[in-house]
Amino acid sequence: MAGTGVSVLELRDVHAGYGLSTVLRGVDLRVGAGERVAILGRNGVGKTTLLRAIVGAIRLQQGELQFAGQTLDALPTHERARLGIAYVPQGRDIFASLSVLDNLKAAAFGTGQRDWKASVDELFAEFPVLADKQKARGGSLSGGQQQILALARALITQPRLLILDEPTEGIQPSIVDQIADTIRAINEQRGIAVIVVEQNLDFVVRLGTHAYIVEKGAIVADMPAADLLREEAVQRKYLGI
Amino acid sequence: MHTHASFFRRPYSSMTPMLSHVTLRLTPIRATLVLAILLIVGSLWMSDFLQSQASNWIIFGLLGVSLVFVWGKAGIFSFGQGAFFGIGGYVYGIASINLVAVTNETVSAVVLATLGAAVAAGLLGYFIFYGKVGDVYVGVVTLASTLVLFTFMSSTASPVYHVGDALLGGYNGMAGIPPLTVGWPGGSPVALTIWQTLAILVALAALVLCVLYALLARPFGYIVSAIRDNEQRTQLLGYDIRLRKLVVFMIGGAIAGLAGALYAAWSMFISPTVFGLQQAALVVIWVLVGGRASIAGAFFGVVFVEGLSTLLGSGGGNATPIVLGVVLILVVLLLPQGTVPALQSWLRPRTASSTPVEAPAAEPGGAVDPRMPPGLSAGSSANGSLRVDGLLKRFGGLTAVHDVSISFAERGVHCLIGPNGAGKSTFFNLLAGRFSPTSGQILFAGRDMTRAEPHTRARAGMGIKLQIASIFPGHSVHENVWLSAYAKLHSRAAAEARATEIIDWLGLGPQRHVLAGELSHGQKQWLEIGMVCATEPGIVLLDEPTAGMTRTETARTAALISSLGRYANVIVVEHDMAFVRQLNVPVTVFHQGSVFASGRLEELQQDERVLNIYLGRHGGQRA
Amino acid sequence: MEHVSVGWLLNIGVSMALSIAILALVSLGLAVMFGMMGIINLAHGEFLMCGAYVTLSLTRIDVPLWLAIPLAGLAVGVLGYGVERLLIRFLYGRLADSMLATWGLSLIMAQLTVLAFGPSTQGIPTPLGSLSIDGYSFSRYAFVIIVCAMLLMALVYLMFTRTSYGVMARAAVQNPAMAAAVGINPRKLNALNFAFGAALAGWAGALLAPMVGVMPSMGEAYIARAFMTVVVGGPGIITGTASASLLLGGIENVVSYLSTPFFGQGALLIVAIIAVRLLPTGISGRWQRQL
Repeated sequence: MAGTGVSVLELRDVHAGYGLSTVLRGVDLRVGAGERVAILGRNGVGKTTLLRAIVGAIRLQQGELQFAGQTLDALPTHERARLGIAYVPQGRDIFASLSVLDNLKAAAFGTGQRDWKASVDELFAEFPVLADKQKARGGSLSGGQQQILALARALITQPRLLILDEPTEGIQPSIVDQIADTIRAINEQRGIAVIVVEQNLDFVVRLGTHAYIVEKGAIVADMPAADLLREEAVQRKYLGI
Repeated sequence: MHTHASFFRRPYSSMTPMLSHVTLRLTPIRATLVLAILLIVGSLWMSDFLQSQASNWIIFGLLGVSLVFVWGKAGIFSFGQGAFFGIGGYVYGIASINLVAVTNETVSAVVLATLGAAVAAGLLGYFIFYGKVGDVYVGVVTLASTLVLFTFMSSTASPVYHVGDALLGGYNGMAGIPPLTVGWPGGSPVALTIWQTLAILVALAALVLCVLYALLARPFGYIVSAIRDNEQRTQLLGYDIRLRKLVVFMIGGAIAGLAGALYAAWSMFISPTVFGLQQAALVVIWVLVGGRASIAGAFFGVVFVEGLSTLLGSGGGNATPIVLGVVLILVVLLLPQGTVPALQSWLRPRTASSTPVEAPAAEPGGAVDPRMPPGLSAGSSANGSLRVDGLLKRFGGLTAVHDVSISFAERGVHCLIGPNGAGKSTFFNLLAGRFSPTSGQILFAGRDMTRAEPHTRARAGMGIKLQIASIFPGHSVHENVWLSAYAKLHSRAAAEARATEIIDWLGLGPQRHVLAGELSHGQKQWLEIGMVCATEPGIVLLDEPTAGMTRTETARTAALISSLGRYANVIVVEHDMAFVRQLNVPVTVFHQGSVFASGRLEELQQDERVLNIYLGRHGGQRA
Repeated sequence: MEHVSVGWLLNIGVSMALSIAILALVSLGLAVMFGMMGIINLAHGEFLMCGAYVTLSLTRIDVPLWLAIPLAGLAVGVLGYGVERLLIRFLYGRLADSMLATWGLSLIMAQLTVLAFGPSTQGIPTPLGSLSIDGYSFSRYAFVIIVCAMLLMALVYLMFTRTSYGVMARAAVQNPAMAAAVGINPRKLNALNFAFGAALAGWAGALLAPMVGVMPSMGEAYIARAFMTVVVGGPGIITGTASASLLLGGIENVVSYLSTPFFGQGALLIVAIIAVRLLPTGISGRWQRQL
């Protein structure tokens, strides 16, 4: 599933970093509508920086960033969320002292959804564990449950693009597969494009993505994740120690 | 060569007076003395009223200075300098009323008042700094204290409340306080004229300022400003910050008390309003308008605010508070540093830092000096061995470090690596003392460090550098290293020499006088490594030292650390494999809280199991 | 010594409840501002004073008191919104500067009031008269204040839990970056937070107006105690204010009764100092509650 047809996200020669330092050095990436994409690479190569540039936490130093044809550069984060970019950062970052229901409502109100009740009911039906715990404090949920909550919170904003940063980190290995299946279902049923930054190759393969490998701030290789699983040499070169 | 005199050349220092570019070596002390003489002489031509007004402003200026010293220089936000001001005033009133008949002078009363205020500040300061009261709350506690005094002194109206011949007077205050009188027992008292009073006040104020400037130029002053700049780092260097804060607070209290005594003498009256909210806020306002870290600014702020109030007030006072309020808002919005620093930077436009920050293009700093890094001892005199037994750390239900037992020999570099969530950062933080373990033991050089506080570890010889560079951004590179060396060597000259050596070894010589906050990210990391070396550690713990560095910076860091490792024990937690490869040292791989494998990087690279855990491949991440 | 009777107990009880309620009332607005935005608003007392004066003015044009009070609070809320947009929004994260600027604002507001209304104390007749129990006379309005203090706390609770603004505000305080990532606009929220805090101050002033004299300096009388209550209370807006008011207001009342009001105030301050030393994060700091 290489980039064909309508693209939902496009990066052209993007340079970004923190202060005077540059972490991303010329990233070109194109994500089509409904695609599933994985970004792989060692620590420190710029994967999280790339996501932060997309959601607007940092400004671009050079290059272009377009979402569904619209240039994003000057837009603050909350506007990008309203345009349809949903972000689940590393560690999920759910609102720990808010209840599960309030977590969802916060996102619904933030993106201006008046009809939140229907969306919440729909999500509760899809994720019964959230319905059970709707009054519970977000911080009291287990890692896996928080992940589901973060996903639901992202979905309630009616996104066109879902971005996840290391969704399997800190999650019990036994539910990693479940998470992969859930995300895949979200993508296939709702047509939401997905970008996943990960280090877990099994997860990325199960999710069924096209994998981009990042090194030294630029994309150096790409292929379907299943192919990557067979390419020992590539793994050792870019992902190993 | 760096001599004693060079220590006074601080770029951007708020202590440097406005005219420093004009004449030869106009130090703060000299400037103060010159201005004092000019004022004393010049005031002979002022009207009586103006002389009296000037006296008032000098007194208030001293009160402002006490806050500048405590807050601007040491970072302690005291909302209650008025308390010590008032204590000084009342003690002077009580002492002078009772003593003047006997001793014919009130100078002793001034001394008593200053001491009394200092003691009060000592008590309150002990309460604040030896408890764990946080920064904001220092302001609250000091404010509450001054208001308590306001409340209690206001209710002492009945004649029952007296000390000797002095009636406290309650809300109406204590009247009949003798002015400044000189004399001696058996002689006759000499009351001073208005001009004489002003002259003495100016002289006293100048004396206080000179003492403060001298104090600030000593190591004490540098340590105090280090506390303001980065308290945690100061503590990690092994300094006892509580004691120093207490001393600063007591000095501030004494100055405020002195001002209070002089105020009571000048107005011959003192009332509880000195303890009130208005007065407390006014002191802060004077200081903020003048520039919170500027001693000279305190006087400027007083003259500006009080002068403005008086000027407008003469017309019936209708618009005064409004104008004052507008001025305050404008100062905050337009001159956030205060007026004196703004004027200073306008008069002395941007004297650039000695060299612009080196662009990373050229090899930064040159090749690494092959000699032993200064501060480390050759031979076996420094014991750097570290042994960990059965270390376990649980956070609630999650076990982050799972029964780790490992030994690091005396000398050499060891790398700890592992995928995300492997526990190596938690392990590092246990070694550094940021968490205490659930069970297990950490032995450093044979001593049990399992639950030692971070500053105890620092003093025992564990040099710790955390991931985020913790340096003194408001001080120059030289001062940063000097502060670290002084903590160990306790000698100004020795610390100077050591600092110079280390900066040369780091290759930061050209940046010696640059403010540390302006260094590039990589340079800051090197600076901190240098600071750690300055404390003569037996072991150096580094957490991701190359995070955020460029390729060239990383290569140089590898060279620095290798050089370090020839003479000390160095443990490095890292993610960057290129860096680890450059170091070419034994590596320990962590996985799920335990030691997974050890050996050299080349062997581990080929190991399938290691690749599995890094990639989460073939169930490699399953328990 | 008075003999213990129902009337005597009721007298003590009502007096204490009134002290606590007044303290809670004057602190609630400041708690919202400090808790939600970390701003120290030294003009808080002047917002309170504004609420009193608006109430006064409305009653002068024959608006019934029960209507004037809510309107006064709303008016001050609008004023607060304006102040935030014009001044406060430049000062977030700058603690000392926000104190200085709001102090300047308080000077301006107080003096403008003096110019408009004159410096002397004016009064609104205390409504509802008094009732007599067991020989003791109780002002009915005191009960109104006590009830309204509880109502306002309930209002704050409902505001933050039931309205869209409230849910977004709590999310933004908890994690501003993540809140932005779900579409919440931080600037708009700040303005509403400040307006809400100002309105609460206005309502406090409006409610107090019929009971104490209305004068331009009335704000000063309350700001120090409100400040202490907020700091001792800690991060929980309602739990902190309630518990701190109970502690400090109760102690103030007891000591005032046993000696003089001056000593009562002194006792309040001393207890505040000790409380901050023993519980550095405030009473509600351990409970980890936002509200």
